[in-house]
Amino acid sequence: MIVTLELFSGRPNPTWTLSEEDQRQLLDRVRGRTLAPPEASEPRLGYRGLVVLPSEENLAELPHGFRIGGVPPSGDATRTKGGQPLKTEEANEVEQFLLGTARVVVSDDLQQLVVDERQRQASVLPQPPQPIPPEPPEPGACQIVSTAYSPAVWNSPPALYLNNCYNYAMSRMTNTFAQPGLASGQMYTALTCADVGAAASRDGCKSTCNGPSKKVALVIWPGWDFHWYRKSAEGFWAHKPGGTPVRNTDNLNRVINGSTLTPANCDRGPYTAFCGYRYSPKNIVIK
Amino acid sequence: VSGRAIAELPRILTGTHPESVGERAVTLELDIYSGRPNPRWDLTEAETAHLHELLRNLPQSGEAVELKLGYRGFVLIEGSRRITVANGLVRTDEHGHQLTYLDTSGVELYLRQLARDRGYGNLLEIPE
Repeated sequence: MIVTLELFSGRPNPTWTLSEEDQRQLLDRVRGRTLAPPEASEPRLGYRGLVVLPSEENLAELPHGFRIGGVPPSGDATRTKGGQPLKTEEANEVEQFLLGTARVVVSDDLQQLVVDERQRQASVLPQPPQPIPPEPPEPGACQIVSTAYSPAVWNSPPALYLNNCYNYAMSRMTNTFAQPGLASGQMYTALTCADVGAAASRDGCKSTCNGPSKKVALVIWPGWDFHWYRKSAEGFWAHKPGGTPVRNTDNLNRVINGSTLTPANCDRGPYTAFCGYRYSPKNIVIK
Repeated sequence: VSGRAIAELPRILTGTHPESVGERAVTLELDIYSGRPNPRWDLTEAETAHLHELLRNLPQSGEAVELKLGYRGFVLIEGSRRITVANGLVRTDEHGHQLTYLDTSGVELYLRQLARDRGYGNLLEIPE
């Protein structure tokens, strides 16, 4: 087996052949393990590890060369197939062993240089995983932007009496008891899921999520009235029944927690038709 | 029940005071919708006067008025003053100060009759 100490950039790297005893000891350490391929090193100056190339006698057990030490790129795709990869302490031990076999060709000064370089690399490696900043959403990508539950601002007169479920769900305190479609010029004409939903769509409340949006839900008391819910940042759903205070509970006083209880299955009194979820964008206009 | 609490209620709805009847209209709102505006109409002088009698001397209560989806009762409105009548309770609300009384004189029953007379009987028959 031929070992190359990858160290220089311009000069030829030191290379030596392992004795039979050293080969046996090395094979005992790495047999059946997944090893980094020879090319798996970072393109850097200074000590880059040791590359071991098998001799003809070792081809049966070690068909490919491998790398020990240095700074191989992370990721299994660069590794040769086999069993478990060497643990850090095992890899260090193999590296120390191979460096010990280099004494036949490497001067003491160069040995010390490698030791110093390994210590320096160990002081900066391994790097703790750096948090990956979230990529900004693509224009038009769905982004749910719920706001924290803050009922107090809605529950104080006169806003309490002048804003309804549509105001609260769309997060627009117009003090006009807003009606779906009124701002866009054509209010609903029938109290059905389709008609009120279409009126809200004309105001800008979409049936599909597109861009930064609040998640809302529409329900209908067939023929009589509509009602809306809005999801809060805390995960539960809140709503404002007409001119009464904002609440996050259903008609049985259970918190609409967003997991086991949602606008779809909570007690809604006479609002028996669940029309589905909708998405209120930042620029929605209601009246 | 304190005498002060009993005496306070009629003063909240000043329009029901015998001396002030006719000075300012009292509006009755059937509190039932969430999205649509609730039905509301002005009471006559006679209705207001009768209501004044019903609201007299109600005992105070520590219970909370339940406000949920569907029929929630009635709201009497006079300017910025409001009286909520629901679930056997009468709650006054003036400038954020609330007091609750037991509806022992049939205020809600009377208001339901007024709503039926107005043509809203079908709404009152909706099962909760």
